This record gives sequence, C-alpha cells and structure tokens, in this order.
Amino acid sequence: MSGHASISEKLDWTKARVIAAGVDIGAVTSKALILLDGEPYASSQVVTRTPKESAVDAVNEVLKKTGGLKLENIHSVVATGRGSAQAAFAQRTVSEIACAAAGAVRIWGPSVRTVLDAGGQSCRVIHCTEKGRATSFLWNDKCAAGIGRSMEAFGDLVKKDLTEMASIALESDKFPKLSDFCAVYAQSEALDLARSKVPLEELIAGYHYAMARRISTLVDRAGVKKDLVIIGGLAKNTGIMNWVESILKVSRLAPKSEWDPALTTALGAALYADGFCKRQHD
Amino acid sequence: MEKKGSDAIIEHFRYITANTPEYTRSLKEKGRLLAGYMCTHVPEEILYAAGIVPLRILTSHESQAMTRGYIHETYCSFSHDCAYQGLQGNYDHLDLIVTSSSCIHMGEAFNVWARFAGFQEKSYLMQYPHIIHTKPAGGFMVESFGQFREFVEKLTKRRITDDDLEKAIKVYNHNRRLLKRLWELLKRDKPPITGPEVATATLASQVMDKQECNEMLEQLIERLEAEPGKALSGVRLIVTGGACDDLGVFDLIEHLNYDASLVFVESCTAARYFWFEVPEGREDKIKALAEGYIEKIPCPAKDTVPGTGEKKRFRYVQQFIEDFKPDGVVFLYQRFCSPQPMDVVALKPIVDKLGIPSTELELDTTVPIAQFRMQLEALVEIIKGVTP
Repeated sequence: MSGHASISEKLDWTKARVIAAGVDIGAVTSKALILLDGEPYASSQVVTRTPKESAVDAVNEVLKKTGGLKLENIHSVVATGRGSAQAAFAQRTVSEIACAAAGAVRIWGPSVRTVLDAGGQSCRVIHCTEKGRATSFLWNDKCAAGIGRSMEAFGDLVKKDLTEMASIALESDKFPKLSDFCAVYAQSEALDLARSKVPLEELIAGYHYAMARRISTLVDRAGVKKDLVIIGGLAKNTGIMNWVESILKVSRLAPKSEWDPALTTALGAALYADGFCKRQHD
Repeated sequence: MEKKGSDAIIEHFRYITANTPEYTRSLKEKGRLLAGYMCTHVPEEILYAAGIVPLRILTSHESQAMTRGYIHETYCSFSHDCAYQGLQGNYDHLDLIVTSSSCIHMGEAFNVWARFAGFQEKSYLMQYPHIIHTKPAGGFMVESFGQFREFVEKLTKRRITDDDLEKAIKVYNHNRRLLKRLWELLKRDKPPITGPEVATATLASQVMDKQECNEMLEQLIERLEAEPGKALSGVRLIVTGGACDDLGVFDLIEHLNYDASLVFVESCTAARYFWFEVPEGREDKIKALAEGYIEKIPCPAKDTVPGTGEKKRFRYVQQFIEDFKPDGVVFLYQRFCSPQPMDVVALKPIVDKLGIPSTELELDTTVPIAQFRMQLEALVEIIKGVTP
C-alpha cells in the first residue's frame, strides 16, 4: 500500500458527538476523510489497487493516525467515486458530482458556482448553489486527453514525475503545438518532435498546453459561472491549470494551502455522512 | 420458472433481440425471403409488399477490431458493429442488404457488406434527400422509392401491385399504432409495463416479421390492459438521441441506487422508428410512402430547415417532454457520431429553459456501466436536490 495520512492534533475523537467519514474511491487514488462534529479531523490518500482493497486501505491508513479510532466508532460512512459500490463498510453512496460540489463550497465558501474536477480518470464541470447543491454537470467524453492518467503516461514517456513536469511547463514560453484531440496522438507527436531534436522542456510545455486546451473546451461548453474553483489531483498541476485560466480568461479562487484539492470530494462525502447522521439523530 | 402472461411475451421479445441471427435464420428455413436494412429511412413496406421480411441490422456489442481495417476508427461503434455482423457472416442467410444514403458512417458499414462480405450482387443503396425540409425532397423520394420498387420487383421476379403496397402500408401502420399504444401506457400513473420492456418490444419489432410481431403486440396489450399496473417510483427519465440497441442502458436506468423510471426513448431505434404513419387509401402508393417517411421525426443527419437552420426534431422532443412529463433528460449518442451530439448543443439549452436537468451518455461498443451509473445517479441527485 502506498499512501499518506494527516491529522488535526487540535481535535480529539473521543470527545466527538458525531464521527462521520467520506471515502472517495477514485481511479488513480483513493481518499478517506473523517469529520468530528463537522470539523475535518483526519485524511488519507492511497494509490488505488482494486476498488475494494483501496477503500479499506484508505480507511485503515487514516485510522492508523488517530490513536485508537476504529471503523465501528464511526457513526456514518458515505462512499463516492468510481469504486464506491465496492466499499462494503459504507452505509450509503453519493455521486462524486454531489460530493465535489458540497466539498468545494465547504472549502472555498458560498460564492463557488463552478467546480472543475480534474481527476485521474475523468474531468467534470459542476455547477452548484451557495449551499453546495449540484445543479448541473458535464462529463468529459470518452478520451484520456486532459485527465490524470494521460499526464502519468506522458510522465513515464519523458521520465519525469508530475510535479517536475509542471515546473518545467511553467518555465517554457516557447513550445510546439500538439494535438488536443487525443492523448495518444499528442504523445506520438511529442515523440516525433523529440526525434527532431526539439528540447524536452518545450515538448513538456506543449503537452501541458494541449491538455489545458482540452480541459478548457469542456469548461467552455459547460459555461463558467463565477466563482470557479479547481479540484482533483490535476488541480495541483499549475502547468496545466494556469493555462486553463488563461485560455478561459477567468481566474479561479486561489487554492487553499491547508487543503489538498484531491481531498475535496472525500470531504463532500464526509459532509453527506455527517448530514445523514445528524438527520437520523434529529 | 416459466413466465406467464405479459411477462412471457416480453421474454420472447427479449429472446429475439438477443438472438436475432438465429430468429431470422428460422424465418429463412420456413422459406421466407429476407432483406437486411441499415437505416430506418428504408421504406420497409415496399419489401414487405413483395413478400420479403425486412429486418434491421443491429449490433452484438462485441469488440470488433477486425472492422478497423475497413472503416475509419473515428466512425461510430454502431457502424463498426453493423459492419462486423456482415464480416462475421452472421447474416449470410439474407437475400438482400439495403440502406438509404442517410448517414456516412452507416453508409460505410453498408459498403463493407457489399464489398467484403459477399453482398456485392445482392445490395441496394437507396438515394435519400440530404435535407428533407425542402420542396424538391418529396419528389426526390417519390422517384427514389419508385426505383427501389422496380429493383425489388426484378429481384423477386414478381410485380408489386398497388394492392400489395396498400396491404403492407396497413400492416406497418398497425404495427406503429401498437408500439405507440405500448409507449403511451407509460404516461399512466400505474403503468402495467416498464420503459425497458417497451424498449425491448420496440427493438424486436425492427427485426421481426411484422405480422408475427403485430400478433404478439396485440396479445401483449390485451394482457397488459387487464393488469393492475404498478405506480412508478422515483424520478421519470426520458432518453433522446442516436441509435442504441444495447438494452442494458435502459435496464441500468431502472437499477440505480435511487428509484428512477424510463418513460420514453426518442431515438432511431425507438420512437423515430415508428412514431409516424403512411397515409392509407391513396391512389399513388409510392407518393403516400414518400409523404409518410418525410413526416417522420427527422434524423439529426437530415434535419436542418434551409435558411433558418431550425431543427424540427426539437419540436417533437418538446412535445414528448410535455406528454411524458419527465423529471430529467438523458442525451444518449454514439461516440464519433456528428449529428447527434451537435444537436445536443442546441437542444440542451431548450431543455434547460424548461427547468429539466439532463446528462449526456456517450455510447461505445460496450457500455461503461460504472461511469453511466455515476452520471445517472448524479442526475437523479440533482433532480431530487440532495444536499449534505
């Protein structure tokens, strides 16, 4: 199991009235997040193996950090994400569209109206209300271009990790135009250019720009209502997201330093778990 | 356990959709002439009038890597899969393959059959007007349908009389009315049948001998009318879009984590197939056929009013929304189809204005169940207005 977890030392789970958890079983990583009386307490991220294993891994990873909290102490668990049906320990499932909207509004506040969720296996644009209720969404078409997996594949090709690639992409002003229609075409074009001695930095920048164009098309089709936030694993890739902002001529709300944007949907799931639990008590 | 009543008839329809080559082979063994058609613009009545059973070439939802050598990769999977049926020899027992010049993807599937699947000498490409909302389109169709009649007469070595055509028109109109009645049962508060079941019967009707199909539909409706029905639970969804013969998509709608019911499907494998009639009792039968087919709910590939760019199909979709009262709309189309998703760009704002949430599902050879499920459940959550 490869992953990490973090915890807020200020909170004590033994004193919590309501302990709720959200588990987001994504295609690339699985995330778990625990709320104590509605306040974020602990979170984890693990690399997804099978959805069933990863759901358990993510929860185990976060529980390990808590000093004694066990799954049976958690009052309500909501699973979301591609593998949500495999989380046998969750009482409910809620779609990642609803969870992403709820999580984003919780993190950035009630001004959020558009959430771009750039994940490992899909890219989605969600519109929501000030209360975090999703009102519409648009899903990417069946293509790897503009999603996390295609960035990983490109990273393997050029032997760079995602963070390094993003920094390189930001530094290069000059780059070739690559296909934004298909991730495979784009990679193949990049390889051809590499054989023509085009510097690697320019290829990396070109690939990031192509993926940004692809994502921007989706956002443009859905329409941007202000404020815009970007969540999901790819949100951390400033090499792509700065271009998305530039192409769309819109600024996103600044990332919150205390929040990993990849955890937003798990937070939303935990908020749903918290809400279900409170409604049950009421 | 053996099913009884309406369930047994629905089960038989389902069997036919799942085993179409076998079913049609059984017709052949009974001495029937069979013609496969690839587009619903083909006037089946002309074939039927000549004693031929028209059956639509549908897909098997299998991977068809073998077709990529014949059809470009970026043609829709429906066209690939239809071509695959020919290359695999699943319909070697057909006497004819016919299509109309409707969509280029299906045109290529037809070409594969004609060039590479042994149908060179038993194929017919019927001309169809590119845009149907023009004055010359009617005359064009009369001429084209007339040529098709002559071709079929030569093929069968028998004259198709006006009487034959009138009988065929009546059989087909009867079929259309029965299918319409079946779908209209879903307007009820307590329908005795589900949307996926009606979709199954509708799909089966496209590959069946119409007389046999009509008898089954009559029995089915008679039995259903005697059944109490069951209140629809959850949200009501309609589907609008392109060809979809994967009944699993419709079943999925009714097997989500939330209660949802499929109440209508506007596509060329459902309502667009039968939601029209050919005028009966006309002196000029071919002109009557042309008139009927031109009044069909238009295929997006043919549906642009010159000058205004209006899409007449949208009026039908709006009417279906009014009549079937859906809470949500599912836009369903084949990946790489151009006309369908282009229509969505213009149709979605109309649906939005009506305050109806929607989602888009993109079909491929196989149905990505997990993703479709997520999208449909998210749509239902939006309809229900769930919040934490």
